[in-house]
Amino acid sequence: MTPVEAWTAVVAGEDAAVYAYSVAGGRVRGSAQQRALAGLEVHRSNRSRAASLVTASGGTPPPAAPAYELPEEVGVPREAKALMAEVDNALVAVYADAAAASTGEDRRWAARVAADSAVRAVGWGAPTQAFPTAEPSAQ
Amino acid sequence: MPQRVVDVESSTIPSHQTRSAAFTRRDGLLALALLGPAGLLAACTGTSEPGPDATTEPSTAPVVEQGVATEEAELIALYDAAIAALADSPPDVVGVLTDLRDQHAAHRDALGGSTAEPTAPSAPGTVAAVIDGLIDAEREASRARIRSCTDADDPELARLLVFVGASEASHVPALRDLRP
Repeated sequence: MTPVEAWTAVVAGEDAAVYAYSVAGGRVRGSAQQRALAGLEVHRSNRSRAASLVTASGGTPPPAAPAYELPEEVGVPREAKALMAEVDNALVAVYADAAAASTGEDRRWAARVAADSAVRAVGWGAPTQAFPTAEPSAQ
Repeated sequence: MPQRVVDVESSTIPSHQTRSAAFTRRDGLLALALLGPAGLLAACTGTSEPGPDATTEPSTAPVVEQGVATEEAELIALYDAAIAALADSPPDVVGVLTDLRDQHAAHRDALGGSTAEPTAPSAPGTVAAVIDGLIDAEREASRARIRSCTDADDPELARLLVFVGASEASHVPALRDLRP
């Protein structure tokens, strides 16, 4: 995978995460909502940095889709948390690809963001995994 | 995960070289269009191989890999000592610790295994102290993986270390939940 391909996948993944957090964040309350809003900001900021890396690698960042098809119902808080956990766990693999395709500070950033994503997923109730990945049926 | 049109059925996750495990992930999300057309996935395997002519210095990957596998063996020993010290705790505490221990064993094996048989220092007396010791060890392990990942001269080893470091970082909130 070239750096442009890898960072483009990160941009697309973060766009999906921003959408998911926007929807799910409206379905939780209290401290969970605060965490969802903080996560939303993190995903926006990561999207922005990844987009600049696409540009720096000679590519053009893809636009976000206007909407995404959610994999399941997101009506009650439990479902909302499961969605955010799934998005965060799925991002680990996307950042792992980016780490493999990059070097130095960019790779360090990808590895750090992957770790933060896995931490958020467990915070939302996902089980810990030896190789964190989205596991829709595990919730 | 939110889906955007295409559903890529599965893609390969870590697996350094072709070693033991080929982990598959199926699911929507990012498998989604993010990874794009199948050709793009196929490209993963080919492009980053250093050619035989590209040798300037021998790769440090085997050394890094062995070092991390040994650190994983040390973490396993730490968990074994903790599990022994907390044997009288509620079963769910021991169950979580056993799961986390087993995940380190999966890390060790994915890194090619280790023959080291480290002995962990005896675990401290209280549950809180045992858990705090494990939290510190996981934090340090995750930071060390990110450092090794950054320095790795083999992209596939770097990819594997991202997963291992992310797993270890995610052990911290799971351990925090066990604190009395």
